[in-house]
Amino acid sequence: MADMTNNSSRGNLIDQLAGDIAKDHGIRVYPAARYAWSWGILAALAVIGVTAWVAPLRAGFLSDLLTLRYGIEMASGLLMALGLIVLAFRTAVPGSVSPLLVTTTLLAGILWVGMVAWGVFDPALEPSMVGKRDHCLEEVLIYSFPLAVLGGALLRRGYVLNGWLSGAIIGFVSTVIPALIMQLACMYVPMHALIYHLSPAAFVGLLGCLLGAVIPWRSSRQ
Amino acid sequence: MLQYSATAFDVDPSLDEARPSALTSVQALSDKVLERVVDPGNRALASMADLLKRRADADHPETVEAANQASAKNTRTLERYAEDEARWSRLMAESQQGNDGSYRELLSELGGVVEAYLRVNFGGIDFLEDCVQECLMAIHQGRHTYDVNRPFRPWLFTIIRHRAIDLLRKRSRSPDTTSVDDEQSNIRFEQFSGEDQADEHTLHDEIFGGLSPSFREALVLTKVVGLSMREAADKANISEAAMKVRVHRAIGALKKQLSVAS
Repeated sequence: MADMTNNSSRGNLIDQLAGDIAKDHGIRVYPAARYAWSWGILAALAVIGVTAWVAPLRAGFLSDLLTLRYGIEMASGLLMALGLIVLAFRTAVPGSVSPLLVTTTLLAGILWVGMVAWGVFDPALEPSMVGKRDHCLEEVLIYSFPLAVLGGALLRRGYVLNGWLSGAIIGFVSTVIPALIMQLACMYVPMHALIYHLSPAAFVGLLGCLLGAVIPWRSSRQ
Repeated sequence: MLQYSATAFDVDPSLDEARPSALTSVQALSDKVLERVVDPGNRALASMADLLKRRADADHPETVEAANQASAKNTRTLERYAEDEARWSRLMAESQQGNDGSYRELLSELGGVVEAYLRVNFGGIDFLEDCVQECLMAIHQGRHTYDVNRPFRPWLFTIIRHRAIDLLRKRSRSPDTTSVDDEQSNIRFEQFSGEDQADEHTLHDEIFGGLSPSFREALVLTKVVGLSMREAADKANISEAAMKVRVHRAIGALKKQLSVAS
């Protein structure tokens, strides 16, 4: 009797859901990859533009990039940022986060932070005050918030299962992008970079994690 | 003491002419060795292994039969696995295009899959059907994230596992409730059921007494007050689909109660 009731109840539910499908006349599949690259490119261009508009980028940063250690440091930071962007948008698609992607991103991040920290004891470049910006910390934080909000809005169009995780990753990567650009724009002093450029990423990541755990990730349409 | 002259290491031009014929003869010799020694050896070993296998097979025919059956079963399982994967993927792609028949077929199949998965992974939980229906709802809500170029199973089972764990966690926090999706149903029954408090309480006590607050709310809003599903969903601050599910479940629970009472 209970089984029959259950089957009938499930059958009714399936009928209702199928009815919704018929009303939809087709849905647009969530374009996670396209959103990821669009958001990443937009974020990078916007941050570069605003950073350059606020104050000129550090003189000679292009030639700095050609030095081996600094080049590897920045390349690992870039790799981490790219991995995080893809990872963030994949959290909105169930079952699409691959361990390889997580591992690569993690290793790149460890390498980046490790190399910056190593620079405290043995700088990759000659530390100098060239390119010093008065409000680099505030800049990193301010640039990260609109990026995080936009990223969150795009994630919300998908199907986020772990809100705290998606929030943490999008918050973190929204700060990593300005931090990476600030590494080129602001003066090269590794300790300064750790405190004023990189540490805000941990703060915004944590904030994103907390907000992600409480905000509704499902739109009313869903 | 030996004395080497430099000229002793100079290559004699006549050797260059002799070298190709020497190489050819070495090659021919190695071919003969392979042909006469190594190949027969390999063949002998292969035939010996075959003989041993046949003897073992003859000694234990039941083992051979069982192994063959297991192998055939594995092959069939793998084939069925691939077939299911391809079919579900196709049905979901058609559903995304708005084909309700395909979607009905897909959900009917997935209902059984979800139920089996929950039974295997979480045991015979007492609200299994609730879980199954919630998982089907979750699949419905996330249907736009399935990409036909990706495998279907990881997508499906990630949703199911997450939803099931979520429900179990909620149930463990509030074990006395009937519904498992009550987080937004703090609105009291009395707030929606009109002016007549006496009638409300009669309804509450006599008919809806055994239902959870969320089920009572769903039934009162849609069947007593007469709101549409959309309006009722807005009132309860949940989606329309969730309200439909809630009403169906409430009716099911009410039927059970009435059948027990009669």
